[in-house]
Amino acid sequence: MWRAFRRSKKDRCSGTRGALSGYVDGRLNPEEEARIEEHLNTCRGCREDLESLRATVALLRHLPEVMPSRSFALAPVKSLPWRTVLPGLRFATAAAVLLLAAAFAVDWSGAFEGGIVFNPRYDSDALGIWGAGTSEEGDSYWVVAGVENNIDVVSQTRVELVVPDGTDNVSVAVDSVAGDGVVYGAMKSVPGGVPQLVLTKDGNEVGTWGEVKAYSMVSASDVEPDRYATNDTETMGSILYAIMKEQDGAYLNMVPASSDNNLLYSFNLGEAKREVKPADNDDWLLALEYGLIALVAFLGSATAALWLRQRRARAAEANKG
Amino acid sequence: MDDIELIRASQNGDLDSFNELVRRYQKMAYGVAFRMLGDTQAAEDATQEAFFSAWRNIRRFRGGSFKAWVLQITANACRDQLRRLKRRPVVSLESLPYDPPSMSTESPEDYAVRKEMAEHVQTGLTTLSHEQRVAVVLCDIQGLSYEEVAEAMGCSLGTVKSRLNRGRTHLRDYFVKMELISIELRHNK
Repeated sequence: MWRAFRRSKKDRCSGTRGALSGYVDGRLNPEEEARIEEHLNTCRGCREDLESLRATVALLRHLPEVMPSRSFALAPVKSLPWRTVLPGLRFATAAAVLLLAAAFAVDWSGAFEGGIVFNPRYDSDALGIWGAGTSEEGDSYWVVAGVENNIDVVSQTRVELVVPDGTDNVSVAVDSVAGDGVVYGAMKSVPGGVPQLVLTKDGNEVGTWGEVKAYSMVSASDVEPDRYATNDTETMGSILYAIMKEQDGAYLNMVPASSDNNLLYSFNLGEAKREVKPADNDDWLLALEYGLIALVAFLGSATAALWLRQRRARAAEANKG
Repeated sequence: MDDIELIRASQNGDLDSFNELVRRYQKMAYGVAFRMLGDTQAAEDATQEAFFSAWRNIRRFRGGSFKAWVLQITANACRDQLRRLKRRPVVSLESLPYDPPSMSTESPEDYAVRKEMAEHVQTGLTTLSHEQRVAVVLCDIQGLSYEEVAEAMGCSLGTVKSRLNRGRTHLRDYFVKMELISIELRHNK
């Protein structure tokens, strides 16, 4: 019986001790509180427990207040450079790469290369015209397109040349497929007579003309027989170039010497037109390409550097966080 | 402006309003952090981290006690800080965590006793589990109600009671052992 009494007292003590914390704070309901107080009246151990708990709480409550040595207010975060710059830089790099690719493509297409460029619309082969265009790139001389003909090249063939700009400097270029090299033809003025066409090759008059495929440039309605020519190849080239280029609808005529201004062949230049360009004018393209390569290198390395910096900063932030 | 207005403005991105809230609660948050960690530097770091976190998550605050919300974030920041310290322990050279309040009536001897006692209490706190320590710090040191503690700890009132009970009992035993509370209590316990 004594043991049973002791056990029940032990249980009561244990129950009381579990509730003492709430009792100290006055957080028990009235019945619980009454039960605890009843036990406390009879149990010295639990009473001392209560006192020690109260002392503990009092000790905690009377701890000195601690003061931070600084403020924890947040400073506005300055947006880090790469957050704003990097996307723009990436975009600029991509744009520069695309521009460079476009410049390469244009270069590759040869759109700005010099020399004779056949106009595919007026391809002489397609028109059944014997094409004789030849030129060394960058030179100003060139050869007019013509047709195969049956002129007796041994005899003094006379071709009249009339240049619409009204100057006396007229010329014609002749191409020969008979031998190597280009044969030039120039009108030679004959005092009191009809100008003659003289063909030269490598600066020498060609005795045998071979198959002459060079012709006068005339406007069909504008033949003036007493014009004469020059053999200045530079002038010749530029004049013919001008005619070919600008005289849309002009005719390319061949007039044999044996006849009096009889038209042997006549072609509408509008159909057979070719474009001749001066020397390569793609220096700017080259400069653009070099510039773009430099720009891509610069932007690319700047992007890479910023990207690395951002990665490092993030890693540092992650470490810190 | 009251807290609610400041919170609303903060949620709309107004840092000045948020900083006003920081000024209102930083002493309390720092106090909790210091009692949790027992080190001024760690407490400052945890407090700063807590306010950073609060600013980042201010939109998630959906009413209730802002104080409890801030303290919950602070307690979490303290736990993170403890983990970090465990990974990379630093030796703190500061042993005087608080400036002696200018008590003209207090003698140097009294001050020394009080300081020693406070240090023992602080050491006792670090022997508690994280949950018990949070409950004791919030309730007994910061003076929060059971309800506020439950909100800050995200648990029920019953859990608060039992954590508090176990924490206090554990501390009481420690204080008795350290002779911070009277010796005869130890004998009669």
